[in-house]
Amino acid sequence: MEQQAVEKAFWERLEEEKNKLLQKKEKLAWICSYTPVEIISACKLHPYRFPGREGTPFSADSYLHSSLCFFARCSLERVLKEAGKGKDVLAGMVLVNSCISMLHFYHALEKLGCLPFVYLLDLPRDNSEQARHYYAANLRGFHQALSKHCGCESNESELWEQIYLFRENRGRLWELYAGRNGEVAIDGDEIMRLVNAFTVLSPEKFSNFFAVYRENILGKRKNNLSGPRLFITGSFVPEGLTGFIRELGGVLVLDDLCIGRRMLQFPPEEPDEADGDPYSYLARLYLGKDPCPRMQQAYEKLEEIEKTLKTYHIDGVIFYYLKFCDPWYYYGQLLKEKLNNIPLLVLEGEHAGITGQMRTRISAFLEMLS
Amino acid sequence: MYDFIKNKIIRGKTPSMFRLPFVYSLGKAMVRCNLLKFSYRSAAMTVEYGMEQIRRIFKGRSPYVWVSAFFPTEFLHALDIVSFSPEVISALITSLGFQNNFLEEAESRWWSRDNCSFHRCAMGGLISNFYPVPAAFCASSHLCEGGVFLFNNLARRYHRPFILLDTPLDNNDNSLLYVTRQLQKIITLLEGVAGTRLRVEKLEEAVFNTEKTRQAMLKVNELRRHPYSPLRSKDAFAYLYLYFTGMGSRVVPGIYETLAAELEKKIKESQNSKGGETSPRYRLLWMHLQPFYQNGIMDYLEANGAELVFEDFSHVYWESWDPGRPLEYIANRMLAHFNYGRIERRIKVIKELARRYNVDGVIHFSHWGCRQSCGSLNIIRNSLQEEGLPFLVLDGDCVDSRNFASGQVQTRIDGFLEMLA
Ligand code: SF4
Ligand code: SF4
Repeated sequence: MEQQAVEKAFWERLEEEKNKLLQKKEKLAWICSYTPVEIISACKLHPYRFPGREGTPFSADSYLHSSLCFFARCSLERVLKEAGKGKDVLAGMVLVNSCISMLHFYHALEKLGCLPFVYLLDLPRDNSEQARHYYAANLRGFHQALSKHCGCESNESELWEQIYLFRENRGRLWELYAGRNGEVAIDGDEIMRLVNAFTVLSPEKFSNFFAVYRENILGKRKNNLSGPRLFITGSFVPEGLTGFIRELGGVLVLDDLCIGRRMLQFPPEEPDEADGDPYSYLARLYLGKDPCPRMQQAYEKLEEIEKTLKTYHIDGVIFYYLKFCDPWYYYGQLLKEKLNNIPLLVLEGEHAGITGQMRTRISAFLEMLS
Repeated sequence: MYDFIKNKIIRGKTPSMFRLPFVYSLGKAMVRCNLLKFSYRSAAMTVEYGMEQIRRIFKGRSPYVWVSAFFPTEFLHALDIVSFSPEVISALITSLGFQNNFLEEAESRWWSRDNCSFHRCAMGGLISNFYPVPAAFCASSHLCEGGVFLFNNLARRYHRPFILLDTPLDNNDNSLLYVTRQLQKIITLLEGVAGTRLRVEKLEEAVFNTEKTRQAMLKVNELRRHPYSPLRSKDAFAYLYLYFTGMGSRVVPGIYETLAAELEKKIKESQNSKGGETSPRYRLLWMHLQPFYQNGIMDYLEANGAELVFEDFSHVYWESWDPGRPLEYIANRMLAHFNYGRIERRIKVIKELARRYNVDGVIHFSHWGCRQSCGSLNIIRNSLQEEGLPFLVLDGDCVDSRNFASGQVQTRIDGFLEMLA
């Protein structure tokens, strides 16, 4: 009982901290997991993953066509309704040219001029040597532009410092993914909430929170979870989806989400300040991470998917994609065909939370697996 | 021409007859002997060119690949690989009335109606074994992202190479280097497809052909500025296959040269005819593609005194470059496209075309599922309105006639023309 109270207090404090952050002026919003948050931090700004606004995009639809992805339109909706109006103060936003909807979202932000700083970072589509070279130059350009905007020098040693800091935090979270092929004591929903904290809090604040989590929660977990073992993949899942799965008794063992594991799964290469420039290192890091379907090499992992799911003893797969999101749609097509022996639930969403229909379908799916 | 083929040849037949190489040999012969009538000789030459490409594909003796719009086809011509543009073929199939066979086939296999119907139609044709499986899928990320994902998906499905040109956002030195290095890699991959090495002189010749095409297209576009507007958009779409697959071909410059000569002749005739031809009441610029099934939009516009005098697709977007440095030429051509990247590029070109063709207004045909072209229309509208240029958006679908509401379209056209009056 006491342990439950400790845990409740931890999550409440975390929520409070996140809410406090909304009023802070020095946040630079970002969305895609290919955004080099280290550069934002090196410019003394607070990198803050922008959550969009679940619901129906009304005002945004006069700027963005209704056939564009709901996440982009909902993000614009949030900027129009909340950003700069005291509800979610932003110093600006950096977008990655990750898909056509994001590109149009950028056009709208730029034309509307409602944020002090808007930047579009071009991202290559694979991890070849020429792509890394190209991305490194883009990262340098971004650092210079942001430094100029902030009135500071683009300082490489400061950048290295941030690289080490973020790396440590990623490493801490990555540990939670270890050993999940066996029994698990922490549900994926909990990991996802921690990853979310990593993407919104400052690196220092996050490491403090994580230390508390490790000591007061992680170390005290004894019992393993029971229930159907699940794998979830797709684009921005609605808030509360993973929690809802847990409520129904599903155990989220593994995810392939850019707001989850893919935010952390970077190549092991150690940063070495003495040996080269930070932009090349960051380009190798980000382009070398577990790819999402936007990247050319993403499809390769589909060849291994059944093997991976067997290793993790997965009973069922949930694939969630946003309506009008081409990268995930085309990927999902193949995923569906590759999964011959494992049940799959496909959910299509509009970034409007978990709908009643979704609830019914998830319940039925879990019942079937139980 | 399509009506002739449709009514006299196709009626009552199944699409499978179009898998026979013999049909294309026959078609070519009919074109050559003038048994099929075209408004322009150059249009007949285009059809002949297209038929020859497709005949070779169904014959199955030469390697053939799928190419998305703006992939550097010079390499393919230099390596004698046949290129096939699924988007343009979907348009053709639509104009022949067969598109529903393929759309339904795709939809029955979870290919959503939220995606571009050019692609749905193309993939429906492939999964129903209408098209032979190509040796590779070649895409460029220029403007059509759906194409990149579709081709990657199909390549995995059919175990064929996926060859991508990742086009950077901006045109600068870093981008140029990135594109040039990718082009080198693409050559190696295509050599694998062709089973032969690319000879430098062949590539130079292909690039030289592109340059000749460019010059001839410029000539055509200059003639189209004439107040009489010798080539209207509805006829200009007949040359789309060349624009998508013909860069580098030896035949294509001659087709555009012929078109230029024909337009010149038409202009002269219009000047000599009694009182000359009357120019349209409203001159309009068309953006994006048109619906390829029977739709009546263009005729309705014409009947109401409006002519589509130019379309953004025919814009020659790249500058001249030394064809003796082929990779640089191609890389610069790739980076020059106006429809990709930052919206300012697109707006700048629309404004430039509006001035050049002295138009009274602009119509954008918003093809459902084409996220790149529809995405920022309001930004375009505001920008054009600042210059006093009226802008009309017509929602519809180029291939899937189920997404086309003709009454609504006519009402919107009426309102627009009233505003222009
Ligand atoms: S799905 Fe990929 S491209 Fe899209 S936001 Fe996530 S990481 Fe970025
Ligand atoms: S209409 Fe748009 S989405 Fe469709 S093929 Fe053309 S560019 Fe691509």
